[in-house]
Amino acid sequence: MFVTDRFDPAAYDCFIVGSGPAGMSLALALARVRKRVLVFESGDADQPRSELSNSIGYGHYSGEYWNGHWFRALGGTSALWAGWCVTHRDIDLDNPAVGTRWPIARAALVPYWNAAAEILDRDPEYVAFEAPFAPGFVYRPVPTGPATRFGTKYRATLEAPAGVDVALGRSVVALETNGRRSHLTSLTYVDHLLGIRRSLTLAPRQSLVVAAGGMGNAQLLLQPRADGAVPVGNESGVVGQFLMEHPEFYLAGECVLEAELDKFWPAANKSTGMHTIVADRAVSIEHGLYGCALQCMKKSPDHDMARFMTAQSGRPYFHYEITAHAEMLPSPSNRVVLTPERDRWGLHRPSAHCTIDAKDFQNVERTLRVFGATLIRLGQGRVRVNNDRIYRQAAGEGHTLGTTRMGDDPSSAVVDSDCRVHGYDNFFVAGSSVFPSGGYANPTLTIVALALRLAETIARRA
Amino acid sequence: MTLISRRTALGIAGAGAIVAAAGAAAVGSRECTWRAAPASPGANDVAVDFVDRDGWMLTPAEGEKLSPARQTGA
Repeated sequence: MFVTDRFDPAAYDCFIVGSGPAGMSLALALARVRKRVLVFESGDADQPRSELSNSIGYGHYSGEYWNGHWFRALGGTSALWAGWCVTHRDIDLDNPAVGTRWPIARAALVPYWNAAAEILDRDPEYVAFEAPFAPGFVYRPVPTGPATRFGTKYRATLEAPAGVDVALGRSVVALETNGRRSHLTSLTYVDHLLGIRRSLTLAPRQSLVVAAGGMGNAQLLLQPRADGAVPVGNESGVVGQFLMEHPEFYLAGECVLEAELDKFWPAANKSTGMHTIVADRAVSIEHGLYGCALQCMKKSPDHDMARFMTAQSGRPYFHYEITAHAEMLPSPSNRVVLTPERDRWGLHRPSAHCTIDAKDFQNVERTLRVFGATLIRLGQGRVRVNNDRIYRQAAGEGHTLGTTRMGDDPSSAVVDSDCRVHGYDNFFVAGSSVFPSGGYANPTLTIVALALRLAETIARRA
Repeated sequence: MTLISRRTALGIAGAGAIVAAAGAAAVGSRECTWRAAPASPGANDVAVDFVDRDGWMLTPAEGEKLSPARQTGA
């Protein structure tokens, strides 16, 4: 239910900061195992509190860019989500060309992806579907469909008396820890309607999960303390670092493919899936490739090159436009830092510096060229690389990744493989900020999957 | 030589015309390029590719036909 006044903090097993796909999936999963949860949401049920999303960007994603993907209302950024669901592959979690390994094996994520797919109103089989394409390449369609809006889907559930309470219009602005920094002892929140600050005490048995988005998570864990000590949660010193997006290159190339290669396209496709082709593990390793999905669009036989190939071979060919969805190398110099500027509640404004690496651009061109060379070798198609679309017109997909990265080493990662902040026993982070690398896959499915996995961890300790 | 577009070449030559079309376009327009692929971390990258004037990757055989014309500037 929505709490409207004071509440009894001792009644809860877990506090969650943020009601987006991560926070709400986690809260509902805990409620199913009879845990009491209080979710803090800065915005209202219907209206976002947009003025709180006040980061400023520099580099390839500048100005207000990140704020456009940091939605402060019930359901969080699911309100803006495009609805694309796809799983990571083994090589997306451990690619030598990227140099960062996830501390979780893909097989361990599969059951959570399946459960997440149902929450996101997708067929679990479809989100993980893949088929061999040309040798060295795999066909991996991306289900799109209507996007699940968490604020709408779960509003009635949240309004009813149940295990989940939601404190709308409240933002958590500070965390306090014990002297040994082994558990959180209190949190401070502001009530935007009343214009007041309040604090509540956390018992060691009570968990706190920061699930405020890739920007919000970093902002909270970077807030300086009055005593000058290291911010709570940034004992590793790497909060904010390794900020990543998924660079998108619209019309990075085009291709013609023999109709025989078209057999993997779902016959019943009615614009509910994106047809993407990716290099397989062997070709990725051979050529030093990392995440780059070639989304083939606008299938048509009506193109000069398609007609040529058809005429030359006597077999039908189709033409496709290619948009590339790519991975960025994780870099400590791409990072969120705080500016001296503070809002009325004392929170420092975040600043995001994010530059696409030369290797990231070249990875896209190289993937297209290897794909083209493969098609030529097979005599089954041709590729055209659009240089300027790659090197001069990069865009983004609105994914804020990596700012509280996951890893086994407390000196180089913020959270461990259970999404627990290193050194703490009741302090966790949820969302795409824990991704150690981005792969090419859209993150929402994995955000929800990790939240469901985290629910089991928290349920065991509560 | 007269520029012959791919579309025109197809109309003239019909099936099997891609090499001729690409070659004609290259010679006529002087826009065709022959270039090495970007440097790779190893020796296994695409070593060389050929492209026609529009940037479509060509087969080695097609590219070899273009190369002498490009090199002589004919």
